[in-house]
Amino acid sequence: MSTKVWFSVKDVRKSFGGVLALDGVSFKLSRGEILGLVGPNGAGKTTLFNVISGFDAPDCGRINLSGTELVGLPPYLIALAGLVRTFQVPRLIENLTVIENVLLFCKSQPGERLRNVFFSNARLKAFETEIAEKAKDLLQKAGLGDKMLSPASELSYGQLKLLTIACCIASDSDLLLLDEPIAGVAPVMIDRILEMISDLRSAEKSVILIEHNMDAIMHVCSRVLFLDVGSVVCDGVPSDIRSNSRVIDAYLR
Amino acid sequence: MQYLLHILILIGIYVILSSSLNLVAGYAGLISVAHASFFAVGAYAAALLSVHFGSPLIVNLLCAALLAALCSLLIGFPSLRIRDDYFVIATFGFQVLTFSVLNNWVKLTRGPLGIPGIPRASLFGWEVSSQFEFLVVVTVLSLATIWCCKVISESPYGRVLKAIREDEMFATAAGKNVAAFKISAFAFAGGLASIGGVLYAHYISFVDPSSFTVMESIFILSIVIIGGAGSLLGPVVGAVLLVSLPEALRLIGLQSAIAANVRQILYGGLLLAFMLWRPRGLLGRFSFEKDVH
Amino acid sequence: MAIVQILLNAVIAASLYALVGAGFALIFRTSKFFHFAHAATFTAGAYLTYTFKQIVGLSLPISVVFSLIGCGIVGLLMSRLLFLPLRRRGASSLVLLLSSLGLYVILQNSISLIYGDHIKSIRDAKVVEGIPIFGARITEIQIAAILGAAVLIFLLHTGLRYTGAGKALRAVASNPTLAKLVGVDSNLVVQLAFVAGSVLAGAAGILVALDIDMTPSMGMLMLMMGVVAVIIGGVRSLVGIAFGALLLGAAQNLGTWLVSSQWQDAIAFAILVVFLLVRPRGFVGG
Ligand SMILES: Nc1ncnc2c1ncn2[C@@H]1O[C@H](COP(=O)(O)OP(=O)(O)OP(=O)(O)O)[C@@H](O)[C@H]1O
Ligand SMILES: [Mg+2]
Repeated sequence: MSTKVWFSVKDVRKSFGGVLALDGVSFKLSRGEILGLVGPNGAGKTTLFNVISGFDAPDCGRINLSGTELVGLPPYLIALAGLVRTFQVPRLIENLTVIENVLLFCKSQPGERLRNVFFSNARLKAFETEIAEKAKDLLQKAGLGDKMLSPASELSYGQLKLLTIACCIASDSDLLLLDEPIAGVAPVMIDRILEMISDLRSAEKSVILIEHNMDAIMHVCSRVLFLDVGSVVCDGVPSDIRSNSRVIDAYLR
Repeated sequence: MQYLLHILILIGIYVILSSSLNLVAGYAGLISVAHASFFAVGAYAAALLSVHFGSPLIVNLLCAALLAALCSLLIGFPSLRIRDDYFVIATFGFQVLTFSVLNNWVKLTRGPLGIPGIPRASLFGWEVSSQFEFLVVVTVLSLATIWCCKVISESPYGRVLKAIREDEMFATAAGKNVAAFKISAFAFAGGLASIGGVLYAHYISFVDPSSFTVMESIFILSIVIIGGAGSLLGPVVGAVLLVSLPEALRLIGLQSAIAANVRQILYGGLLLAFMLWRPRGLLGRFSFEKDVH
Repeated sequence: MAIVQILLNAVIAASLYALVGAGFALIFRTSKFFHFAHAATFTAGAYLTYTFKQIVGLSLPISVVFSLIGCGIVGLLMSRLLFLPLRRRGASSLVLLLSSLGLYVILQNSISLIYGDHIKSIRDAKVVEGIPIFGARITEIQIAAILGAAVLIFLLHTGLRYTGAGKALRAVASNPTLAKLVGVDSNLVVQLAFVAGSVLAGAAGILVALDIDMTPSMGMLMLMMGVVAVIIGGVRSLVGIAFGALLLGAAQNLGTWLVSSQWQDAIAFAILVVFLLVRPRGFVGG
């Protein structure tokens, strides 16, 4: 595993009207690292994700993904640059089937060009079969194999969250931002989700994981960032966090 | 018999118009009130080309489609690149502009006088002369339009359109250039709609601005909404219903001067009623519940 | 001297655009949808005046007052019978827009049915000379149009600023949830906006009826001009809308002078496209 800095956030600030949501956040990440992002409600965790993924423009700061400056890029280009995210309230296309949702995330599909809709060829067909196979495998592994062809609206809450992670994996992105992937999910499902996240490490993917469940964080993260009122209070291994006095203050406050 | 053929031909033309609008309104979730403009572009292109150059149907269709697609870029680019709620305004503006140009650019369009004497369509040397033959041409082209819509809706491209309609943010997060998809869908739909215009011009053999008003745009939109946006057959059912139902008014002997108004009040009322009690239309899967603001 | 007449014509056109635009903006701010039937309200103003003046035979001032009241009632009925019930069912802004389109179709065609499609006019046969100023000519009705628009916009502006109703309206416009929390009845505010907005559109319709002629389908073009003024000025600023109306009126009349009157609508569309491009925050963003 290379420890070269590969993703960096430098002095990012963001305010909404008078509310300062991010107050100069900086951190670095290397490949294959799974970083936990914790902090009390309203600390600015989701806002940080929105800024990194380009859905909100920061007031200032720089964000760099393996040499590409992300600030100022439209969110779809950031996604194409290899950064994918989930939303705190899971978003999916309920009218599409489970597998179609996954396929939506596969990148550079020639079939998504209007002209190829009418001038399809063997290579294009082969590509589509290939990604469909991959999507099937992925869904099997995620335990959604039997739901593949049902509309996404028929999934349970836990299955929805599982599917959003499967979508992220299908995009073959290098960095995944997961916003509370196990909040509100039944315990059986939690283990499966955490396993999928852990598996990403061996695939050399990096993850930033927002989670309130500290046991889960301990389980999968090698490093934890503690955010409070928009700034990084503590950055260290999970056990550090539990003993850090400022963290304890923040939670007792 | 002639009368029945006439109704069937009109239905065929409106199937083309409404199915193409369905690509924009039903699949991409964008309300356009400019569809009569593309209808007009097709009709006037065919009228001018065949009156001045006697060009064959194929040439008219291609020129009309290209011109209509270019016009839709003119609207789509400034409005869709930025935000959705501009789209309806831009299409509205374009609709008003089209009508005004047709009325005022007298040198080209002869203004309110219209262009009479449009020759019959000719196809590879064969002149489409009888009404029945024309119905065959209309049917083939409307089936082709429906086929295009079907292929699109089943393609990966169509999958992205549906995703955009349901949740733009999600589509963006999946790395889709939402604006580019909307613009291309809109341009394609504009091109398809112009086919309806070309057929109309050859069939009626006369075009004038009064056929291409905002009212006409709303009528085409009503067909889509009442038939069911986002479904393949919705616009077909809508076209059959909305084109043939008012003909019943003629059968009960309503004066034709009044009939035009009553016909429009009827479909305006239907549109309202569907919005109140069944916003997804007859066959629709989707009811514009996404809020643009 | 032509330039004075051009400016005068620009101001006259602008006062109509500003009235329609301000009414549209008022409704848009509180209800958040594109109210197409506003065009029909404008037309209704003209035809109501025609009815009271020419058919019933009332005097001009009385006809105008009755027509204004009539338009207010039209707005009230629209909101009470259609848009508020739809809102209660949780209809999206697109559903409201489509309903408004349907309503427009019904209203325009009803006017057609009752009065016929041909041009109707209130003016007497004799040609009004107009009062000369700086080499230009302006009729009394046109002066009334400019003053009327200025007074109505000013009243609305102060009303929104300083009265309780105005404050409630602005509260609902900027944050409906918060407004509800502090006890503002948003349904009442929506009705108020519809009444006030419709009266403004009706006023424009009355002025057109007195100054020019009327046809049942004239509303859409006027609505388009009002909306362009709103796009230029921003939906939240009455002063901005008035400015937008002036800009549009000036561009159109200069265009008429320089090129020809047939490109007025094209000029409006060009301005619309330019402002769509340069005001990315635009319409709602202000
Ligand atoms: N669009 C917005 N407009 C105004 N304020 C916002 C917006 N988004 C977030 N905020 C504010 O920014 C702060 C940070 O919010 P954020 O959602 O990032 O918190 P969080 O750490 O994700 O909390 P949670 O654990 O509850 O999800 C909060 O005070 C919130 O009210
Ligand atoms: Mg959050």
